[in-house]
Amino acid sequence: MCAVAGLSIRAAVRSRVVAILLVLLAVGVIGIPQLVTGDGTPASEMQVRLRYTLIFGVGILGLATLWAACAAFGAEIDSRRMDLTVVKPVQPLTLWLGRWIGILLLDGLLLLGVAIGVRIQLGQRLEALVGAPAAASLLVSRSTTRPLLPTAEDEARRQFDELRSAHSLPKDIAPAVFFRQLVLKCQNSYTELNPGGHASWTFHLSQPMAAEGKFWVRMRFDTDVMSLADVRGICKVRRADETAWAAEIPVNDLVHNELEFAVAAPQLAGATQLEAEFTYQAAPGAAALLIQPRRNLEILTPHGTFTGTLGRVLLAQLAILAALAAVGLTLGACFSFPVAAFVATTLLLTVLLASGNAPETLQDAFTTEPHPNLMERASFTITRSVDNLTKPLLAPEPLAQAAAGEHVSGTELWHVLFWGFLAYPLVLAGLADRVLRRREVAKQGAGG
Amino acid sequence: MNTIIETHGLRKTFRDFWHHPKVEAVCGLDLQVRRGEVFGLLGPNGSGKSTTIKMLLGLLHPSGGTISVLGRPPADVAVKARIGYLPEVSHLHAFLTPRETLHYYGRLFGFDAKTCQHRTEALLDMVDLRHAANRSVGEFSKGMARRVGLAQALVNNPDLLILDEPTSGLDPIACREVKDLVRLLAQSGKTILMTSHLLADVEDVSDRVAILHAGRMQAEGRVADLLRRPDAVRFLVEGLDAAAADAIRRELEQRTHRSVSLEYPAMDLETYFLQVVARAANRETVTTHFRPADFLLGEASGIRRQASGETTTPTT
Repeated sequence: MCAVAGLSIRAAVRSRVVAILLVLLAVGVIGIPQLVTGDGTPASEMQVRLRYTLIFGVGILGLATLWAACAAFGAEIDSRRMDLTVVKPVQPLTLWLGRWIGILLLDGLLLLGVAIGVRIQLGQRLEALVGAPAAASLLVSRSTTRPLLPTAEDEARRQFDELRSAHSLPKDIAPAVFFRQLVLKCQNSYTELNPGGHASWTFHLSQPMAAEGKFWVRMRFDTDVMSLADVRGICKVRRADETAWAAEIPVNDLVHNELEFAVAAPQLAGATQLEAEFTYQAAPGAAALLIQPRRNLEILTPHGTFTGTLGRVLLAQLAILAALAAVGLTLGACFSFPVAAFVATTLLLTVLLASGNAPETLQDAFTTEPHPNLMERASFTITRSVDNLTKPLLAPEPLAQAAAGEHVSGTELWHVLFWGFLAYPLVLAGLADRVLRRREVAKQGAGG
Repeated sequence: MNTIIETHGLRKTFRDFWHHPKVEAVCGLDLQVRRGEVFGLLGPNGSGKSTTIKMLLGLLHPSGGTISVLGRPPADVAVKARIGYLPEVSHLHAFLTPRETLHYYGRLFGFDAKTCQHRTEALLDMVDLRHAANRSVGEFSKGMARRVGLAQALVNNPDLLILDEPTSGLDPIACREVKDLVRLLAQSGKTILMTSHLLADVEDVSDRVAILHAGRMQAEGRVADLLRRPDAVRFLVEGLDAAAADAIRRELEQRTHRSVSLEYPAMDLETYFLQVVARAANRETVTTHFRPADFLLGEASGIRRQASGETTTPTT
């Protein structure tokens, strides 16, 4: 296996592909922050330099990985170089694993290079923006806690059961479809705050608050589409079991902006349950504020280091590349290189479409349309299947989390690593092994 | 086990995309290759030689019949460990050097780094490529690539060596070296199956041959038996002048009442070529570069001694 992995690395290093990749990645790391400019705030710099640059790097590496993996078997078989390999006492699975490991090692090295470049650039840019000490305080890793609320499914189930017991379920729509609509409704439900009104939420922290009691509150208010409003109010925080507020923070900003403010309240040290309250202090008659607490309200507490989070992000991205390599290798084992590359690219596009907004849009259309036609049904089924198949790997967004200064949890990371490094490759390797055992590597013709 | 390769009713039908039969490349082939012999598989283009070899190696799956190689199915990994294969075109990794190529294939056989290194160096010496050991194979001429191909086929010291057109692309000296090597390997107990369009090459080294045509066996047997003319006798006398020769011919015609032809035998072109080269090099003989690596010959007999000496081209 080591020999095969070594061959893959040699093949890549001695071809122009790696040189071109290095140039592209360097251009991405240096060029993207010049092309995509933020609003000058540290948060937008984090987004541009960390998120977009890494997405570009992973995207380029992903395409290269997919095609290189297709070529690893497809082109080898097409060019008949595989003849000499398969007559040696090597199991197809060993060949597959060797190639996979070789590609991954290269990917890992290149990804590490990109991450180091991004990290250096980010540090320099933040220092230039806010000075060295403040820059260090911006590169943080924090765990997020959302308010204790029933899940959208639970809430929908409660409403559904109430309607059913009252025999008020709509007759013209299937119960399952109606339930799905209720879930969507609950997911998008708002808490409304009129001037002078207030709302409070309880948070259960996964770890006791640190001694210095430092934490952040992140919230985003919306308002009626046709109206504008200032978010003028006060945010208070206390232990859930106490009556006195430990911190009171005045808030004055615009709706639709993500508001994030740091709080230092040593008296909250050791607390595991917090209560937060927001009082809307606008003049009577001002537009009501709307907030989706399930989505747009969080308390963030320090957890780990930024470098550690970046390392986790890299591992998660490498897991995606590992899955892509596995797909490419297996397609290369099944088809000739051009066919494998075409199928791989088509699959990639389908996955990108399915994991974007398309599933939700389609799902909404599907659930609200009582009698979907065949095309709608087929589109929905394909999109949902692809989405379900790739969700375990793609649904977590560690890059977005890192860019927002959030900690990537170990559970989430292990989940991604399990699917990217183990589950998908295992299934695909098994399939490739079966195909390679059955496939005739040699072609008709040539010779007698 | 004396039979190394055995096929019964071996068939191969190539099919098109829709699985309709397109070509029947091999039709009911029965073949037996015994231990320690050099077996030549002959036939015109499209006769099924390469297809048969590919089936013996597990590169193609038979449409019918049975194959046994070293007593087991060809796909068996244990069998593959004992086979060396030189394809018609070497198809080596162009970006590797010969040293890396041999090392890589050695590792595929599961040899440790030390063994790989030892065998690699020995084989590089054998095929006289040490001077180019660090150049990419992609830069090589066809003949040089062929030498690397031959070396990789021997890296595992195989019991069965399958050579598809082994002399293709080689100059006459290298051809002779390959043939000498084949004989030496056979003497050391290895079984060799080879195909070639150069019938003289096969005739030089093969113990037995089979001739295929349209996927069917047309003839099989010992080379000497197949080529013998039982109805004719040839005398070879050195130093006889033309008059005496003619007198003898007439005498024979009178006694046997048959037509007697008189021929002046010529050496074959290969022998003549090697002599010219030797003269040009101001030497009496052409020295072979293919000194078999020690690990290929084992301890048996005096082959090692013979192999380490110089092979001399015939002078007559």
